[in-house]
Parts: sequence; C-alpha cells; structure tokens
Amino acid sequence: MSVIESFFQVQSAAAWHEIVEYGVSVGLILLIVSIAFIYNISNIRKLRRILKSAEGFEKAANHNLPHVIGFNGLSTEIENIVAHCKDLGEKVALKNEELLRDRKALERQKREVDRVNLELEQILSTAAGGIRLVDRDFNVLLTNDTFDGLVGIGKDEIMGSKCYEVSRTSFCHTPRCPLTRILGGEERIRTEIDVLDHLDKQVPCLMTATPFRGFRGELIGMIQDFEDISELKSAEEAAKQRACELEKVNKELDSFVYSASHDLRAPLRAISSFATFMEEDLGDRLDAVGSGHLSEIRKGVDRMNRLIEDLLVLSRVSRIKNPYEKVDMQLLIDGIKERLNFDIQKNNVDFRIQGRMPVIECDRIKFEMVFQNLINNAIKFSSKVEGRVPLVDVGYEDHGDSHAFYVRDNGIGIAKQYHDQIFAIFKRLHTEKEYEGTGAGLTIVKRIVDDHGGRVWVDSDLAQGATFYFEIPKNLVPSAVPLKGEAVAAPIVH
Amino acid sequence: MAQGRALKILLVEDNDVDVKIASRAFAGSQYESRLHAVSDGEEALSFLLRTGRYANLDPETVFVPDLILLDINLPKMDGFAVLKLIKTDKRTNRIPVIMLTTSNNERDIDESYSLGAASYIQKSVSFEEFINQLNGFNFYWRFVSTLPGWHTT
Repeated sequence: MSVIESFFQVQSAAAWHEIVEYGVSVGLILLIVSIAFIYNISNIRKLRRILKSAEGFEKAANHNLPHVIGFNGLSTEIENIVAHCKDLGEKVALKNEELLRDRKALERQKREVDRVNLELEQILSTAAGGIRLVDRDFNVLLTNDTFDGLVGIGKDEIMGSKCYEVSRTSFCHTPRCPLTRILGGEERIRTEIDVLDHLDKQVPCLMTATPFRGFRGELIGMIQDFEDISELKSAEEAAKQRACELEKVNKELDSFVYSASHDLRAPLRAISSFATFMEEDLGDRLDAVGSGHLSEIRKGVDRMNRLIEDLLVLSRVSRIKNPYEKVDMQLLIDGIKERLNFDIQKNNVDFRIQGRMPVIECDRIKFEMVFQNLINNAIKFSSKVEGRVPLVDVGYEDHGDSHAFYVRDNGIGIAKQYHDQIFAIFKRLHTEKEYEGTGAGLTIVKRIVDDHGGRVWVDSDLAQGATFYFEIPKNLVPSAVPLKGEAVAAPIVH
Repeated sequence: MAQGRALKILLVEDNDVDVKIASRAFAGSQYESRLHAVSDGEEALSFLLRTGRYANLDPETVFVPDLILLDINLPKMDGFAVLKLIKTDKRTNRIPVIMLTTSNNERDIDESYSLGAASYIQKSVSFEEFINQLNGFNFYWRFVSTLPGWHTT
C-alpha cells in the first residue's frame, strides 16, 4: 500500500469525519460566498453605475453637460453632486466670461489711455505756445517742446527744477508772480511778460496762467501758456515808427503848403495893391481903357488868390483827419444856411430841408465842407434862371448799409456828357462871367466823400436842374490818428 | 486921449510891400496916425524897451505906441514868439496887439488869441478889404480910448 492508501486507511474513519467537517466548512464558506456574491451582484451593478457616474463627472468637468445619471438613492446623491458641479461649472464659466470682459475692458481702457496720452503728447509738442506746469512749490512738473525751445534749455534740466531757477521770467519774486496770484485765488491771468532764456535775453511773451486742479478739485499748481510775441512787438515798434514818420512827413508837408501859400500871396498883394494905388493916384490921368486894365489886373489877382486858397484846402482835406464826433446833421445844415444867409436872401432862394436828418458819428468839419460846397453851388446855379424862384432842397435817404444825402436845385442843369468831368479839379462848364467859381468845390466834395469810402454822383440834365447825391457807409471807422491842432476850417469855396 | 491925437502905431513887418500898403492905409484914413515900421521882432522889442539903437533917443522919435501891428511870419523870431514876449513883459503888456495873418488858418487865429492878441487882420489881396478891417479897429480904438481908466502912457 502506498502512502496514500495508508493515508486513506488510517484516516478513513477519522477522515470521513474530517472530510465531512471540511465539506461542511467549505460548503458553509461557499454558501456565505455565494450569498455575499448574490448580494453584491446588485452592488456590482451599482459599482458599474458608480463607474459610469465617475465617467459622468469627468465629462461634466469637461463641460459635457448635462449628463444625468439616474439611479435610486445613490443616483440622487450623484445627481445633486452633478447638479452642483454643473452649477459650479456654470458659475465658473460666467465668472470667466466676466473676467474676460473685464480684461477686455481694461485693455480697451488702457488703449484709450494710451491714445489720449498720445494725443496729449502731440498736442503739447505741436502747441504754438510754450506750456509749463508748475506745482504749488514752484517745481516744474511738465513742459512742452515749444517751451524748452523758448528758453533754450533741455527738458531734463528744466524738469523738477524750481520755476524761478532755470526758466525765469521778469515777474519772478515780485508780487506779480503768476503762481502767487493763482494760489491767491485768481482764476485766469493774461499778461505780457518777459521770459529769460538761457542767455539771459528777454523774450517778450503773452502769458496765460490758469489753476491746475486735482481730481477732488484741489489746487495743485498752475498751467502757463507762453506765446512768443517778439515778432509782434517788433512789428508794433515798426508800425509806431512808421506812424511817427508819417506824422512828421504830414507836418512837413503841411508846413510846406502853408509857407508856399504865404509866399505865393505876398506878390499877389503887391500886384493888386499897387494896381489900386495906380487907380487912386493916376485916376485923373487914366482913361476908361486904362482903368479897365487895372481892373482886369485886380480880378486876375483875385482869381489867383482863390485858386491858391482852394489848392490849400484840397491839399489838407485828405491829409488831415479830424477826430470823429456825434454830429446832428440838422444843426450842421442849419449852420450852413445861416452862413450863406446873405446869398440866400439876396437871391430870394427857397431853401428847404426835406425829412429828418440823422445824427452821425463822423468828421464834422469835412461834412461841413461837403454840404457848404454843394449848397453854395445849388444857390449859385439856381439863382440865375429867369422867371423862376430858385429852389434848393437838402434831403436824406436811408440806403440800408449807407447814409445818402442829396442837394437839389432847379437851376440850369448839367448835360449828361459832363457828369464825370465836373468833379475834376478846376474844370468848369461856364466862364467866370456867367458863374463865378474856381471849379474846385466839387473836387473837394469828391475827395472828402471818397476818403470816407463813399461815392458822389449827379442826376441832372440841361435845363432840368441838378441833384447831387452822396453816399457814406454807415460803419465809418475813424482812420489814422489825427494831427493835433490842425483842424481845417471850412472856407466858402466859390 | 482927445479925438484929435494921432494914433501911434508900431508896425512889425518884414515885407516892404506890406509896409507900404499899411502906411498908405493909415495915411488915407480920416484919423491921423503916426506909424513906425520895424522889420523883425528883435528890433520891435528894442524900440518898445528903448534899448539898443533906440536907446537915448527922444520920446518923440521912440514913442510908446497905442497899437502894435504884428505880422505872424517874421524872420528869425516868429510873430508868436514876439507876441509872447510883449505880453509877458510888464512894461509892454498893456499895449493892444493886432496880428497880421495871410490866411484864415484856424491854428493861427487860436494861437493869437491864446497868447493875448487883441484881434487879427488878414492881409488881404484886396486893398479895400484891408482898409475896411483897419478902419474897424481904428473906430474901436477911438471909442475905447475915450473910456475912463484906459491907459496910454
């Protein structure tokens, strides 16, 4: 017998006992296992589901929502968790979007700031004026290139320095210091000021200074803008000099004309007076012919004298500008009427002023001359017509942007072809015998009206009387400074 | 100061034609007059103050004028300067001065009056007109000089 046979023989009785024991234990174990196994099958299913839900979690994490895994009990839990995760995921996504938007907004703002900075940079650098920003303690915070150029100092030297050190002005350390005034409450200072450049040369400038404020409106310092007016100043000087020279020349010319007229007249006095003396002393030895000659001599001299007078007047009319004043035209014309009263009465002239005369700010003396000449002419030419009462009308018309006056008479009239000629100097249409006069009156009128930027013209025809019109623009601007004490008296020009 | 007394005139005029004219104008007047003519301001003052070549001459020759006719346009010292001197010197400022002008220039007229001239006469081209103006003043003076208190030393 083998070991096994012996094993089995010995063991047989006990063995069967043991086998049964083994068998029972194994059987029990198997039973327990199978019970457990069966019990867990469902759990294996659950396990599977857990695994699935784990997958679901993963998917959820990767935004593959929704992923509903439903199974009882555990499923609800997992549902909740998933829902929460979904929620969380949504919130995160939203937050992300928000953050993204914020970041985009910030980027936009930054671009905007950059753009504004760039604009500011360019504006500052191309600004014609020199700009300087100074704080309360006189420190220079900012300057633009123009300012640096103005003082001829580099930006690095100016920045951070005290404004009264490197880029001084003529007002530094005086009560006129703009920063002191701004800190004292002034809102805007605009003044001429001299800026001292690096060579200590004075650069005349026009400065504007305003307060510089912070976000809360607190006063931080001052902004200054310096405009270099050295060219303007030298132009101003030049203009002043030219005006001075002009005045000098005018005075010289005036003096010359005055002397010339004086010197020209002395011989005239001699001629005329001695002709008179001849008449007086030799009267009995002179016949009518002789007397006639002497008379002609005197008349010639008279005429020459009047021509000189007219030339004097004409030469002064353009050069001398009297100061403007408010002139009541009614009073002015009334005054002329009085002055010519003798002629008006003598010729029985019907003199009328039509309508309302305005009050105009102008050169009174010049206007007197115009009216006097025109009215005098009107009286003269209307008074020689047979059988008619001489009529002289003076009137006013408002022509919108200009004043218009007219002087009308019912005299012999002027043929159309002469309407331009009559304004030329000494041009006459009649002989001295017919109508006395030098022919300078209308020339003087035209010169004065032209000088005022207006125009003069005549409306007339032979035997139809004549109406002289003159127009003056309403916005009269007094021209150059008048020569003092040189007011031209208004002579009666025949 | 009687009506009959001759009007004593000092004429300050550089142009001798004008002197002739003035002389003749006064000569032809119904009123008697004595005229002395000088040709510039210096001589005029000399005459008035009896200095220089007028010193130590008898008062008949170097009279105290009742009237001074003063031309504006004089050589060396101009008429206004002479007028000023006459009017600021106590010895001479009582004598009325008439300025002789060649034109009716306002400036001259204003200046004359402001310096104390009594009047002005335009040296007209026409002799008749000149006479008229002179007669006007002549008459005025004749009248005024008869008023009490009028000095003519």
